[in-house]
Amino acid sequence: MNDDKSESKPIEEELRVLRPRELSDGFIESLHKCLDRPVPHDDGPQPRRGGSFKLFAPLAAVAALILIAFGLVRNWPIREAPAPSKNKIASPAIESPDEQVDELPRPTLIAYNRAIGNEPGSLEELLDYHARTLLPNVPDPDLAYQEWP
Amino acid sequence: MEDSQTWEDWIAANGPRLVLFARRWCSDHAEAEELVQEAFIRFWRTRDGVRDPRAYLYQTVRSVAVDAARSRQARKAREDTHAARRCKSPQFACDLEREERRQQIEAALARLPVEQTEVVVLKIWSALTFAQIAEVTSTPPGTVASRYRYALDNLRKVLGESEVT
Repeated sequence: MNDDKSESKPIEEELRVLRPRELSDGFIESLHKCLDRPVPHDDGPQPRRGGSFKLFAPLAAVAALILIAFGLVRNWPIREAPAPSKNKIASPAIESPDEQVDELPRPTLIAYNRAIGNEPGSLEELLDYHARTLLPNVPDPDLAYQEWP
Repeated sequence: MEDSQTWEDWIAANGPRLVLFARRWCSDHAEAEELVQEAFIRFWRTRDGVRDPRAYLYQTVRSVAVDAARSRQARKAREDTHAARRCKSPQFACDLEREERRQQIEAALARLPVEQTEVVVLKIWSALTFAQIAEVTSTPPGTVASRYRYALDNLRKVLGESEVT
């Protein structure tokens, strides 16, 4: 194996006289379009994709923080939805009719029924009591029976 | 070629030779230029760390051209023979008085096996060493030298020693 050109044969010398064809005009232009783009191995002055991302990422982070802070300020104090109460709502105690009658003689139907069932004057006494306590402007009914002096 | 050189420097020094090399597998000049463009872009973006960038550039062109030739054969898009396509458009530029001789040489190159013509093209017009050609073609250097010698013998027979000046 010998790369020495000094020992070139006549056929080699004749072949070297021929020149490869020149490149067409569009060849360089096409390469310009492809190779002048920012690529990882290109050291040209064009901004790289990584550079634009490095510039954009901090701006995006700052914008996101501003939005989050704005949202927190608007919703401060945070109103939480009322949690369902674990305590059961106390239902009104249903009292037996006897218990109701034994307490204050309120103007209920049970109280009147109970008064009717008792002594004959009980109903009248109950009505008078209600008239005095619930209707204070009503004159004492006993006065109606008093004779005029 | 130094690594600091621009791609324009690389093309100015190797462009026509790369296209001539790609013509071993292409029908005409324009098609060879397209293959060289594709190969050069690939080379330019992957050349870092390569021991011999020039050999790697030719190796890339060869790979792209071979793949394109296989695709064409698979599609059977062309009906003419491979040898006829190689003679479709001139591969060399020369003076008018050498035009007839140029046609004879191109026809003689087209008759050689592609394994021999690629060695001749790389050795004569690209000025690569046998070691570099061996790297480009993934062939042992001894085989490259043998192919070169056989190619010259065949060309001499076809062209005739009497015609050689």
